[in-house]
Amino acid sequence: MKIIVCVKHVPRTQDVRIDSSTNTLVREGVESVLNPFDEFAVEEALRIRERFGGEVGIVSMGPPQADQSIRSCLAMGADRGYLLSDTCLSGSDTLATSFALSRMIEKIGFDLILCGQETTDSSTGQVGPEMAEFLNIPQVTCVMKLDLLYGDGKTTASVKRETDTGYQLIETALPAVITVVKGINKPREPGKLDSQRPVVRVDAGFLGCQPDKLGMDGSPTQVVKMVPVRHRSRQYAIVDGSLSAAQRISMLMTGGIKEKAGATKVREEPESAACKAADLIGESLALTQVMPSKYH
Amino acid sequence: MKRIDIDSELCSRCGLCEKSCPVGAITLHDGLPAVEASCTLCGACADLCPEGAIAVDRSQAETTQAGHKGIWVFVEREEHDELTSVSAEILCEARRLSRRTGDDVTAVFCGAGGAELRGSLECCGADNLFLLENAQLEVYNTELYTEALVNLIARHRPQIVLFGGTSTGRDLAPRVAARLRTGLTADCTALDIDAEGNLVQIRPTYGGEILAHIICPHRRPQMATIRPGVMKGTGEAPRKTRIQVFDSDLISVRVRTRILEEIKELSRFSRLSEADVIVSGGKGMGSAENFKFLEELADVLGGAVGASRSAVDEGWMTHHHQVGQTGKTVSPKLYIACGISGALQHLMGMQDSKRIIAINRDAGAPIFKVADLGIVGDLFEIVPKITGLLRENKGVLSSR
Ligand SMILES: Cc1cc2nc3c(=O)[nH]c(=O)nc-3n(C[C@H](O)[C@H](O)[C@H](O)COP(=O)(O)OP(=O)(O)OC[C@H]3O[C@@H](n4cnc5c(N)ncnc54)[C@H](O)[C@@H]3O)c2cc1C
Ligand SMILES: Cc1cc2nc3c(=O)[nH]c(=O)nc-3n(C[C@H](O)[C@H](O)[C@H](O)COP(=O)(O)OP(=O)(O)OC[C@H]3O[C@@H](n4cnc5c(N)ncnc54)[C@H](O)[C@@H]3O)c2cc1C
Repeated sequence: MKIIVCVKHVPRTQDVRIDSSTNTLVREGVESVLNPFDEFAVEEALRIRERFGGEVGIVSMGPPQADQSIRSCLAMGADRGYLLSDTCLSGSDTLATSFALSRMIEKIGFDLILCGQETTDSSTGQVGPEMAEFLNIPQVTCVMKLDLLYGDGKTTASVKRETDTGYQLIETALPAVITVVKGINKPREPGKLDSQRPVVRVDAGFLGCQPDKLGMDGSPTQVVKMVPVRHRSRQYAIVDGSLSAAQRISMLMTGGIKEKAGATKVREEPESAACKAADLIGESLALTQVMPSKYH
Repeated sequence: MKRIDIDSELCSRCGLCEKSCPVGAITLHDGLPAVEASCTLCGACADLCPEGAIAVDRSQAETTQAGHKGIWVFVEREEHDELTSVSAEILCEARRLSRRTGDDVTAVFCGAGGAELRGSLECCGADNLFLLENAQLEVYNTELYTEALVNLIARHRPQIVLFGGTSTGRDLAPRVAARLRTGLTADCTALDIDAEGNLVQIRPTYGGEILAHIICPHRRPQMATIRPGVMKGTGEAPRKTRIQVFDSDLISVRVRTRILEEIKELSRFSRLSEADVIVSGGKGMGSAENFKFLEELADVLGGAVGASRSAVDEGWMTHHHQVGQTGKTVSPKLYIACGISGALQHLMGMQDSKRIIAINRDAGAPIFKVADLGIVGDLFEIVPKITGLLRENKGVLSSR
């Protein structure tokens, strides 16, 4: 069983800021890490290998530094790492990313592809299904339980897929793309990082395809603008160097939460407390006229 | 002068191009496509060709936008034949956009019994309902739905196709977009039309700190999934919805996934993103059984039940109910937090609720800092009393 796990190197979201004068991302001082959701996919692959044998290959598309994320997967116990890195791939949207990754994985060979449920940076959750389409193989997303079954000389996967209203039990032929949810397992701690373990690095030439399918050219979508979110009341701020020492200390003390103005805190008999609550419930749901203060 | 070129070496003779052609200009000879003079160079075949074997010189074609018409909304139904809230929200938004673009709004429904949605669709301002009726579409299956929808899109060539950011929408939309080789923007919270007539798709990224504006200028349809609960309709004048039934031919689809069973384990209490009221419980609830106190209160209020991560980790509630940084972000009219201390990661998921009531026996609990009304006391005494009071006034509440 040759299992490929796709992982992305993502900026730590708490570090991401926008330069409000230019509306571009501030890149300095932003540390990148393995997409937290991908650890579950790596763990699941390792468990399958432990039970059924085979090997686990890690594939990532990203800048040369993405090699760090691949190495932390190797430190968890994965067998091989592959990094697809080329300046011509930058600006890829999910379609171009999925196309490039699917070409890459096709060249490496696979029986099963595992992905995280989404990333913490652009969190579309689209790369798994789009890769499955390019590879013309089935997909199951949001998988909360995964088992492999042998029979008739074939391996199939029996999965439990989380839905908005419950779950589906699905049997799928392999190869397939399976995206796993956070919580499908408990990822192990990585062992010692070994900088000597080789990570195979390839560039776009490896994919053997027309360049207009890659990067910006291969991306139907364009990000035209990025603006910081205007929070209704900014209750959270990042404790960073732009704040004065006093502000920083106050934020650390309060966790950055602003107390709500006009809050009432009551400590009284359950009956009267419940009346106050019922009143506020009535008011919140605009039932003031029909629910006079009969509770007092 | 050749303006459309088919590479017979790349071609896998799958025949998709023939199906995709809106004007019937492609015929297959031994599986290989041949293009007739009626070709309008729309590029639908090239967009669809899985091998990239078709090249269209679009410099001579009109822009790809030409000939694409209509705003489509993939609608879903919940039990009791109701339109899901998110479907209604998107339809109303589509109606609003249509005033700028002049397009018709079309609801697309897969499966049986879609005609019963007509009443709700008329209220949301849908001009058409396209029904894909086929016994195979009864239960959601990625491969079958993709095939059915892609065929319909190829035939009618809409400008825009929108999906709810639901478990079905997020599974189906990327597969359809990839087959059509078009763009897809995820989890939009706002939509607009720019000066060139492109759909501007606005979505939060980087953990919600940054809003990205995204367009898809050269491919059609423009596709997006929409976050549930954010697009509040403006109240539409009802319209007549015309129903068209399509019998999709799915016999040729190789189905490799089988849905063995579909289990609805979620009660009406689990619709967090759509609820006006959420009654949430934390570690202070003490057990799974005790959540019944919250369900009773939620029941009177027609609300949903939420949970802190600690309550979920204890196994008292499923992850569907979790509110917070690693759960759902909610902003109901009213949030009632019971036995929740108010850790930062929890507050991040509910701070935007219009009103917050907190019940906790620890007067120092941080949840009180964001509460409009904080009650220091034992939730097991107070919650049933609130429920009782509201029940006395049941007539009033049920008239909502
Ligand atoms: C602000 C912003 C908004 C964006 N919005 C959109 C959008 O709406 N639509 C769109 O098409 N593109 C969008 N993009 C582009 C998108 O970020 C990239 O295509 C990205 O490389 C993949 O998308 P994702 O991070 O959402 O991955 P997801 O689809 O969320 O990732 C799911 C899984 O796929 C795998 N995976 C994803 N990326 C990689 C990778 N590079 N290498 C290996 N495995 C990977 C991982 O297993 C991951 O867990 C946006 C970019 C920015 C900067
Ligand atoms: C990366 C990360 C992500 C996280 N994501 C989330 C998230 O998405 N959502 C989330 O909720 N948490 C999240 N957490 C966990 C969070 O930090 C807290 O641990 C959690 O929210 C605490 O849950 P709680 O308030 O139910 O439990 P506790 O903190 O144990 O609080 C229980 C409260 O109940 C009160 N209580 C007990 N009995 C009674 C009674 N009879 N009557 C009244 N009050 C009573 C107590 O006074 C106490 O205040 C995350 C943590 C991390 C590190």
